[in-house]
Amino acid sequence: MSVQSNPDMDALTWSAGPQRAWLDTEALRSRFGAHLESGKTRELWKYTPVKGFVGGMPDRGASASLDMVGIDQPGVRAVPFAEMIDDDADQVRSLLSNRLEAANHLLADLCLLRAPGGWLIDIQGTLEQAIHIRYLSAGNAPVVVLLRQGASAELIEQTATSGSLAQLLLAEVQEGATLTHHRLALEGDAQHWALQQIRLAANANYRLHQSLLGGQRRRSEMHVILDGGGAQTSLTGAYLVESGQHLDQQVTVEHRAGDTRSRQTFHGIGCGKGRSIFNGRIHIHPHAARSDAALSNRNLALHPEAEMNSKPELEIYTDDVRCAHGATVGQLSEDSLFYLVSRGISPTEARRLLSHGFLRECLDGPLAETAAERFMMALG
Amino acid sequence: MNLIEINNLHVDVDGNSILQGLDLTLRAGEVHAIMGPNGSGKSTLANVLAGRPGYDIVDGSITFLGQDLTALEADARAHLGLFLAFQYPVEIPGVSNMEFLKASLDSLHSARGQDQIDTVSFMRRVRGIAEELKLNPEFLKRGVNEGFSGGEKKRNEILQMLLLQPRLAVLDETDSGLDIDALQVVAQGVNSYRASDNGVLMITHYQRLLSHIVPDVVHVLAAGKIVRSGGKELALELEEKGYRWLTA
Repeated sequence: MSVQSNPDMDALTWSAGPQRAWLDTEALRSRFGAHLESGKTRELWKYTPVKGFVGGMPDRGASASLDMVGIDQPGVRAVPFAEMIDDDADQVRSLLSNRLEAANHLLADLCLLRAPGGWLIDIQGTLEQAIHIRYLSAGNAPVVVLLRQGASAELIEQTATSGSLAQLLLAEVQEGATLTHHRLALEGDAQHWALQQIRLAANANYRLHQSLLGGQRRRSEMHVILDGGGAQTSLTGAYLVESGQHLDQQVTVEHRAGDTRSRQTFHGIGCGKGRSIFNGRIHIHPHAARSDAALSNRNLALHPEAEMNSKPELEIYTDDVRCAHGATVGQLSEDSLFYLVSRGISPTEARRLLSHGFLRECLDGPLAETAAERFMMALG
Repeated sequence: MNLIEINNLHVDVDGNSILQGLDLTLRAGEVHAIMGPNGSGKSTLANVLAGRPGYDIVDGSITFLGQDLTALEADARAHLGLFLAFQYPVEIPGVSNMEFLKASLDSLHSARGQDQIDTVSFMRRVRGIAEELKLNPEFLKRGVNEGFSGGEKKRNEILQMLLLQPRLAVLDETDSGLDIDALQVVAQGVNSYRASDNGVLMITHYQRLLSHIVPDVVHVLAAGKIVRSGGKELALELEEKGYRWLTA
């Protein structure tokens, strides 16, 4: 089917909107149309139907309002897309088209097509203070982060709205730079769509600590590309799904260069009749020799009707690699429960301690306590 | 005064008869050792006493401090003063030792209608015991038994015993996996716990523990029954002759 014959297209996108120097709108629009129709898309959106996604995304022309702290410090330049000078616009334009081109990021494409603006955050050197972004209202929110060579920064992202929010974070982590990223989204009735694509150059380092609660519909895609030799990443996340909630997480780590290392540890709990999807994909390209990848996703179904889906996917195209993966869905360990109860702790309290502990293993950083409190509330 | 009285105890596990008429009485102030070949039912006894699910008592009785122990859930047994030092202590990452120990002590206090201990006094007490057992107090911040060596796990069991001060401590092969230094530390801990109003039931394979913690009575368990009881010299005899002369 050709793009032009898709009657939904104009409703979906905003190609008729104002000129946006950072976007090749026509190319994006045609790519989006092609992706929308592809079988791959149906696979990637198996549990969160594309129809619902397109309808639930923020309106065209709607920008989310952002509260940003830490952008006034030395080493940081934060510029709205609309106020970018030509060099910045060229750079953002090239990033947005090149990086997202091959990846079938429907979510990113739609967010960009509908967003009237966005932010470029350009970072040099070692930042003293974290950059803290709070998403205060519904809308589209593309953010491009550029960490220059050898830079080091901490980025905190926190949602503060239940409205329809599309977060697109595109980070370029240049040679030897380090990005530590904390993400928190705890609105149980939210419609949130997030795509994070992080590209690491040689010897760059990316660390993620993420805490998510299920939402009315929450989709979170994380795509890390180890593009230069010696690049490494460590991704940890804790999540919890209560009754009536939906949480769809897609995590992809691509090893595109040799001597790269990735670690993924995600723990999730279903404590009501809700649905969690965790797809963790490791893709090791040819020539990415001596890649070292590990993925662990453990789920506890603490409610008989909790639906916890976990699927690790490995694509490995070179021999000289180390790759470990494990995915489990289970209940609390009887041995651990008995150990606690034998000390006089009631079975109810023992279950509470164990399930907190299970999530706490994947909590770290400045938002850990906030997440722990919310998770504890759900677990009683 | 009898701490515990076990009469004609028959226990099945997965439909297999493991304990087949076990009798044992332990009085306050006593230390008993239970020895026996592999598969004789030693650990089954420990688990039945602590109330682990999956052990079916098909006959007999267990009376602990005058109460029918079998009618109580595992947590209620602990409230009454029973403690099991596990043969294989469980690792629980994410739950700190500190949190676990405090929750344990609080639950005992609350079940007994006692006031809860404040955090500062609690910390002081735990650190004191840790020092006694040569456990680095840093372990309190780590997950329960997380990354502990075999010896550290066993010392942590003894630490819990000293903190919770049970009336009866059942030690399930607490000596296995300990080097000689750790064995001495553990034995000192147990000896410091001994008092006229409590008791210890030690399950062990080896005589060497018994030269550090001297028992009042040694029992030989074979094929689910006590086949011989005697003084501490029985352990030496077993060390020399093995079990075969008793089980043949």
